[in-house]
Amino acid sequence: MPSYHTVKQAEHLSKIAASYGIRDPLTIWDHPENAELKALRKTPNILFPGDRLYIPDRDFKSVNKPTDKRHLFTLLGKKLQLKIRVQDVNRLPVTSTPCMLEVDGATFSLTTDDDGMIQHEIPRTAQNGRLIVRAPDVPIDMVLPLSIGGLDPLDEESGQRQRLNNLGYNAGEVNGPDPQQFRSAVEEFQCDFKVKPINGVCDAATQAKLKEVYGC
Amino acid sequence: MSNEPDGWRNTSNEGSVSGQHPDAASTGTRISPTFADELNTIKDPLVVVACWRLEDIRFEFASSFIRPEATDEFAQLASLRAANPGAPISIFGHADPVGGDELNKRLSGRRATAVYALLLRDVAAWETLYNNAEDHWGDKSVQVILDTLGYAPWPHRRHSR
Repeated sequence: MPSYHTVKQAEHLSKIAASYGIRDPLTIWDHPENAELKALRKTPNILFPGDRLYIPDRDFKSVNKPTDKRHLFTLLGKKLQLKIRVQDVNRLPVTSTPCMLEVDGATFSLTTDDDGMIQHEIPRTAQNGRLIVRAPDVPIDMVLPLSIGGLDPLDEESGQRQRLNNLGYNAGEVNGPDPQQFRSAVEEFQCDFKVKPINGVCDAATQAKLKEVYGC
Repeated sequence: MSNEPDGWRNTSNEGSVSGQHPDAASTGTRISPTFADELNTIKDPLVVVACWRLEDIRFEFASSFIRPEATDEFAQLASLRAANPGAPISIFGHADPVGGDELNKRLSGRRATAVYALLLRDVAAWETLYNNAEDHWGDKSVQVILDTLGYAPWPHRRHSR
């Protein structure tokens, strides 16, 4: 029975699809009923609380095959990954550094590449995680709890605030936004990345630069 | 104690502390998973243990020269440092909104340098600030320094202590 799902905080499409027993999230995302949302959000991984997703019926496929032979069935559906680029306090990439990525109980030992990046497949239902970066120069590791799917869209102020916070600009709490603090953070970002005018307003040009610097 | 829960507090007797900082550790850094393109850039979050502020009024107007009344604030900084041994300090300069952005960015940079140099006793850095054409240290700064140290009070200045 098709239905609508209202997106809650920190829900990403893979997780929503899995909860409805749908293997390939794109069968939801590419459905004509979701065309408007798809045009608005552009990526199924960054949704906003309140978004309404049309969930189609599950497609059952049957094929006739002889039982005394072996057959290969390939499961469809893109793999879900996490890509994180780590910078140090001077905004330089943390390169060739061992890390541990923990996601919903599983732990992966990774090493950052020359751009400070780590990348790994994660379960489709991934919700919470932790990244631990072993900094070579100081005795204290960087420990980051992660809310996977918690990033809001770039054109929402909360999404701008989250990206600025992740980049170290102290744009304020998500639950208690402070306009002055947000404005100061935007100004600092605009100044650092030469977005003019430096006015504390996160307009289209500032958002574009924010997307470029942050990565999504 | 360092951060005041109700925001800014500023008196000339007790020095000045300030600031509230978002606590990402409580909710988790919010990131996006991806099928292909989404990437999350995360800068090592500085864990702030204390905040300190030196008000605009402690500098000469439009200048990076630190006035002697700032003694209270520096005493406050000394206690914060004693309470948080080993914690590195980051200094950020700000300037009054009056005047152009470029001018203020340079002034705020010089102010941060002045504080930094004072903490490190970097006389050469102060010399550079004194010679900076855009700043206004001039003879007045020399007179203030001499007066504060107890040498040669100005002829027409009343001394009240």
